[in-house]
Amino acid sequence: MSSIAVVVVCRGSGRALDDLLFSAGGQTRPAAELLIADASSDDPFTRAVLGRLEAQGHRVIRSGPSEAAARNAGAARCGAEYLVFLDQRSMPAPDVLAAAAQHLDADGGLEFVCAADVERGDAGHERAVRPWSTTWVEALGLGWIPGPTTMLRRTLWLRNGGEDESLGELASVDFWTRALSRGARGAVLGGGRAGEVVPRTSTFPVRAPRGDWIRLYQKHVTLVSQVGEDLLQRKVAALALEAARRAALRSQVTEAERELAPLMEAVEAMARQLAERGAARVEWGDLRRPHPLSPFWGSDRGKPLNRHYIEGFLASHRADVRGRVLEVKDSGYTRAFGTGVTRAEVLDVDPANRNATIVADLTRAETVPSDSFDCFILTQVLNVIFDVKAAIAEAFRVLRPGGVLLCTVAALDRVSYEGRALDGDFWRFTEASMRELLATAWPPHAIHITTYGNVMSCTAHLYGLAANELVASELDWHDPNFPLVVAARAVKPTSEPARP
Amino acid sequence: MHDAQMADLIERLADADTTLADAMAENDDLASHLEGWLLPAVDLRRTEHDALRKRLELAVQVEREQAARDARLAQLEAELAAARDEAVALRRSISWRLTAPLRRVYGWLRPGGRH
Repeated sequence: MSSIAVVVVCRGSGRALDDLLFSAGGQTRPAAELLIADASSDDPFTRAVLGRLEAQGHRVIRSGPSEAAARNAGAARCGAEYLVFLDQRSMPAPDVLAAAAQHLDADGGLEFVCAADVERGDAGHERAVRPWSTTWVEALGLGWIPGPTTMLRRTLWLRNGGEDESLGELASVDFWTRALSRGARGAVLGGGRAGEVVPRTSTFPVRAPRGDWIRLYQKHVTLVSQVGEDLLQRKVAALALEAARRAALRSQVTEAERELAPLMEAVEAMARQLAERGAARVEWGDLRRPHPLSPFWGSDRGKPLNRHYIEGFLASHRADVRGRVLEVKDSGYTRAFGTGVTRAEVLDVDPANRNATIVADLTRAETVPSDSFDCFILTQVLNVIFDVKAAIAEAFRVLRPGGVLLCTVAALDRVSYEGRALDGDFWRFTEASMRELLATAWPPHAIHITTYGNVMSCTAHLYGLAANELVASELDWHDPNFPLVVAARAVKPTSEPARP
Repeated sequence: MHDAQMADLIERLADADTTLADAMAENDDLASHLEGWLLPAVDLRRTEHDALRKRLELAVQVEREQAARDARLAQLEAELAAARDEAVALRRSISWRLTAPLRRVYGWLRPGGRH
């Protein structure tokens, strides 16, 4: 039985990588080789995910900045007889690789096996299985090529010389045009075998700059001369399909708009009728007030909601709170979550703070020696520091190699009434801004960001409700689009990283 | 095919690709508007519509029940007023006054009556 190599192609698709690896790892006929080929992804999230996966033992290779380059690099590092490239467009069902390999095992003349394209129509109203076309004319004319999850013999890849990276998005079209025009024979798995296929929004899957198309045609000038007018007709036909699609979409839009307008009127009419009876469209209850129930973050009602999340974050990283630990303002969290703390230091810019063992401004803490701490607990502090980048650089500097920053920031909150209050509360953060900021000091793979909260806990916190006023399912519901707290764990590398 | 003819054909093919790409982009934008905003908005308003309808039906039902209770109360109050009027009229009648001594004697003779 021949072996299979799966190359997961990544180009800024960090959020899909775990699912792709899960899909590849769960195949009934496992891949002998599994590697991730990264097309120079430069977004911090993808870089962080790749770093984590590498640390977990996954093979990650870096290539030039195109998917073609990633496929070439990936194929070059594999030795298995069968090759499969996966990307975020496809999550093969568990039996797809086994089924494809079975075809290749059984028929030595077969050079590739692909899954039929499963398409959902616009707005999910249609679902159709499009038989894959087997001719180079359709590959060249319409960009209809075997999609992701196609399994091909390594010999086909080598004979074709891999993909031509100079053709950008058209590299795969070029590859399959060459393969098919030389007579490569393939088979198609049954419809729907590709499992979760991201809906393709067009009948014509490849978009590329005009110059790339011209280069492609010039490269295949002999083929173009044979069927040039036919190619043109196919494109005209594809344009007609797009026009039909536009008409269908417009019809759907009109239908939806026709439903929406009276629906909105009916809702408003009912809201008026309810108002006449003393009820409102939304039952605001106790929250129908322009001022909070507590202006003190709910601390006079119980545990503030943000503290609930901050403590949850610190509790999940207890093991990091060890050795020499630095905290701002007081050492409460060091004492609460520390395990094996040898020294607890407290940093504050305010010399009047009797808890402070180090009086310094975090944006220029020259008096604090470099590489001093095993852990730095920095909760809800960056919001009140104007020069956040400088503070982050100092946090990085004072940590020992291998030391951990446990940092939380407010994504949403009332303006602080403490300290300089209206004049000293500067920022709110998102997952992305936190990652970018930390990446100015830490290598992306050393940063792990978590968000906490949902629209309800955010609202409750703004109104000053306390954590005990929500039930666990309300508190624990995680909606990354409505974070209350952004938390980051960043580990200082044991060797000085190359600054981004 | 001459070189010039081939060059022309390639230009026309590339033009067709560009036109097609533009059409696709427009359609994708339209699909994005449809799927990303319009259809979810319809779903949300439909859900709200159903919820409000139920609340309104309940409010109307409560109103009806309240109106029925009010009507029953008014009827009972009217009946009570009529009974009171009747009692007052009875107490003011001559026969009631003439039989007053007898009622007093019965009152004394009843167990627990005045001795």
